[in-house]
Amino acid sequence: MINFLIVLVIILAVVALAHIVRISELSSEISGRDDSKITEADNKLNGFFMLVFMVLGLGLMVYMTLRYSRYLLPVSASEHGVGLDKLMNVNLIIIGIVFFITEILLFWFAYKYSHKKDSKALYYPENNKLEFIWTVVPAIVLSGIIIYGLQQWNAVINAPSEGVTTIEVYGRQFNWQVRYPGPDGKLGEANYNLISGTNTTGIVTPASVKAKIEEIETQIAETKIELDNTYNDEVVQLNDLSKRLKTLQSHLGRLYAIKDRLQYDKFENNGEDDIVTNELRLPVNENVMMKFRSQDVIHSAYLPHFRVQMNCVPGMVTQFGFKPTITSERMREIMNKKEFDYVLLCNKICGTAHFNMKMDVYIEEAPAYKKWLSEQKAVFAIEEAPAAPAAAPTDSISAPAQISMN
Amino acid sequence: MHNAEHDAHADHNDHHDHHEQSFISKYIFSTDHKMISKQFLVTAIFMALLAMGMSVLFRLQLGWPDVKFPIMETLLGKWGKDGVLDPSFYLALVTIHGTIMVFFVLTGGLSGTFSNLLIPLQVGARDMASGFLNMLSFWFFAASTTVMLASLFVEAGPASGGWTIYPPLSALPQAIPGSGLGMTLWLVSMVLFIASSLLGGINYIATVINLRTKGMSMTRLPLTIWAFFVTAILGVLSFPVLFAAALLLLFDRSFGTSFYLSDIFINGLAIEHTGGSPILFQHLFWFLGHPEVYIVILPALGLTSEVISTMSRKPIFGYKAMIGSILVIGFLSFIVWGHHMFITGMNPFLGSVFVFTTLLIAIPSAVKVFNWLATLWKGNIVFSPAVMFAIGVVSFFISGGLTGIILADSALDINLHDTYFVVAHFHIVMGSSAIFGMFAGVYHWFPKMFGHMMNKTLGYWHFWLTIISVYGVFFPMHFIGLGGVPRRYYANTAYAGFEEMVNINALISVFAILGGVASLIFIYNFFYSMYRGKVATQNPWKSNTIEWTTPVEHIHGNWPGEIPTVYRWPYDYSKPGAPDDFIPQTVPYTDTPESNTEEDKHHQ
Repeated sequence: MINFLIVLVIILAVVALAHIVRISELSSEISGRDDSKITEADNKLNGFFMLVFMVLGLGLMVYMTLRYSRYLLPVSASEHGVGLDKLMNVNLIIIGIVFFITEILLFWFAYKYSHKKDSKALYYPENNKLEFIWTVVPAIVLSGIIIYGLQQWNAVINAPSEGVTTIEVYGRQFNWQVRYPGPDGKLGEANYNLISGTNTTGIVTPASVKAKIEEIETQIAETKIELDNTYNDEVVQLNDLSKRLKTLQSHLGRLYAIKDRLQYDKFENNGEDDIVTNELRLPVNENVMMKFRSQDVIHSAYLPHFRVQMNCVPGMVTQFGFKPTITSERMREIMNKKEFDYVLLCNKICGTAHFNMKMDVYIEEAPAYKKWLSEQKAVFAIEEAPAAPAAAPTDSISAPAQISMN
Repeated sequence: MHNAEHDAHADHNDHHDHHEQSFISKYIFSTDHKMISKQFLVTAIFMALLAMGMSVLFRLQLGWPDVKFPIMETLLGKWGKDGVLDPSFYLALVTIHGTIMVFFVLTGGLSGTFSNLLIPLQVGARDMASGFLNMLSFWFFAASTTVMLASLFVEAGPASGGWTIYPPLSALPQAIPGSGLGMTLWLVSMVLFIASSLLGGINYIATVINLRTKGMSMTRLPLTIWAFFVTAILGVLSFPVLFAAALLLLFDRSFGTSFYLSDIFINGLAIEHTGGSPILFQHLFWFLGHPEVYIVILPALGLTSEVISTMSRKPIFGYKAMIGSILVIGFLSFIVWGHHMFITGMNPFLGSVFVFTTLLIAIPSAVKVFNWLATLWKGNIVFSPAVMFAIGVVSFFISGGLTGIILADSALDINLHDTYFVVAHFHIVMGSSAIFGMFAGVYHWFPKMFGHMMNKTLGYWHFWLTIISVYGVFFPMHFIGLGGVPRRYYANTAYAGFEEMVNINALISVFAILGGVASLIFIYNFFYSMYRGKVATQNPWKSNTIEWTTPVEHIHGNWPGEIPTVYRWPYDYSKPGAPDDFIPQTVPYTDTPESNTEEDKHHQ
């Protein structure tokens, strides 16, 4: 229905327009009026419209600002965010003042100095004093903005990284995972070569390397068989298979390099007890250092309520440290919305389902958080005997070098 | 070649008038700058309509996400099954919309049209330094538009990783369907476009430096020419970097190199590429990308200065400061690219440096705005549609420039990066101002281009509806951005807080459609006036610049006799003592003893 209406409105608008044009043309032909010559009436009318546009426009902007302010983000739920919001408000006030002054002058001049037959424009090509003033004043104001802004920026980028909980947010098409350190309090090394069905963030442990090598070797063998069974005239398939084989073989090479490194270099096996979840929970009022990685393309971890955002770039680790200050529960009260939850969104175009790539975020009191974390199983926990939880990994942590020598 | 001949023997064009040009050499493979300028303009208008149509399609989706529009299926076929826009094709639409608008309309269209038309005419040259290169420039442009259009018909869809084509998304067909053949064609098109832009650019620079007529010193050039000149320099220095970036991406995609790729696990496979950096691409891209913003806006600002001065019958205020600010903006534009990358993993200290350099740009920009205001002050403004669009440019340059101050602050960019706040900012300051500058130029120089006048009433309608639409579309977007809604989202269903904003989105879409209708008025006026508009007089706006001393009918070589000599700056409007309110550049000071100032006496 609405479709039909829209099409109808557009058609009618076009028809109406064509008629208006035709009528004005005919009437100008009859009266011998010139459609291109600008008359005093045009100047008066358009000058007046400039004034009307200014008054209505600015009025509507103020109205919209009041009306739409309820859609803006609520008070910042992180410590640094409060400072950023203050910086934002100061900036908004400054640019608001400049906006009103300059736009009012612009449209007011347009109205006031619209062409009049008897008046003549003032020949006024320069005034060095004036130009000096309006170069220096913006320069001073901007210096203030720069200094204030950089102060806040420094506060953000120098967030404490020692002695705080470090967690990892891992992006991939099209969902997020969070990796928490286990009881050892340290995140283990991770590597994209080790990603598998069970080890979705690619944690490096001697066992995971071994398992992955086996998996890839099996895949290579399978691909070879498939390749042998493919007829020579199935060019596309042959091409695909040999490409796949090449990719797998290079993957295997990299895995052996990792294995060698574990054997001969210093390697801290911290990943054995790491926990991976599909939701982000953090304790309130505790500093956290978030590390970001990506599995495939660039993603951006955006936590609007905390004024936190950082890109996740394949091939590098980025980070952002902050301190959440408002629990989810408290925020629901502040916003007066029972069903409110914090969210982590992807904010860098990453593929077709980009708009659906998000994760729920919960901020809790420390005890509740600890309880929740203790209930989460470590990634490699499933393989252990139920009778002696965490026994095997503990051993391997204490003697990583020995195990890898085998 | 024609030009050399003309320059050597000014009176030779009689000879040209005698020999009839064939249709092909006059309208298609023309080496005449005026014809090439029209070719650029018409191509750009076509591309702009297409890109605007695309924006209406995705605005329908964003404004009414639950409604089915049969028109989608009619226009898009499999991408609009049952009237629902396909999410991948949504991304393709925003990507191609951005690409066409930034490159084909606001770079090729704006510089291609007005640098070509005005540089020879306003500096007093028979044609461009090289008419042949100029022709090549247009035909490379035409080829690149053709390839870009062809990419729309690729089976897996055109490029859809955003107009900034960040790898790895743009490098891996596994990551998004548009990164297959569509992306290859995008890159090919871009390489052709860059070639066109460089051929045009070196020609503009050479013409301004070498072919100025007698008396036309650099400080007597109209501000349009200064703007085109600096724009061309920016283009020549920055486009090769995009060329390199595109080439390396092509290598990564097709020849197995790893400039931008590393540590990628996709589709169940750890791919072979290792050791590259996606951040490298961003540095290369934005090293062009930021000057590109000024490549787009400077010509519009130049046209605005010229039109405002002429139509308010007043000299431009602070001519030298205007030139200075163009130069400073041009210089600074090369050292601010990192403000697009505050949160991409670039070293945060580097971010601080870019905050500083970026905010510096506000100073020359503020000078420009105040100078325009001072020019309008106590003027006698004749409201041609052109000057109204020029006033619109100033208005947008203020509104969009001011939000730029917020985005330049790295600390504030954390929460606004890639949200609708950014979309609002750059559409106002760069998109709308530049397109308004283009409209101002078309309305003002239409008589020079086509020898006919445009209909003013339709021009007024066009202006008022368009400025209302622009603010109607982009002002509310700031709120969506401040509310934390990311750009390039097909639907805002992921998060409950965003769904409430759907009514703002519907409002925006209504204004977008209104803007689309308004531009149809322009199209009608443009083509109708080209043939049936009133025949123009030689100097309809009583302007001082020397393009208005050429005959209304275009001739090869521009002036039938000798090229006029220039004696003064172009802004002697309403000079006290003068009988008229304008004194063309070609009038010597000795002819105007009644209006000469103390300073002028030195020039005699």
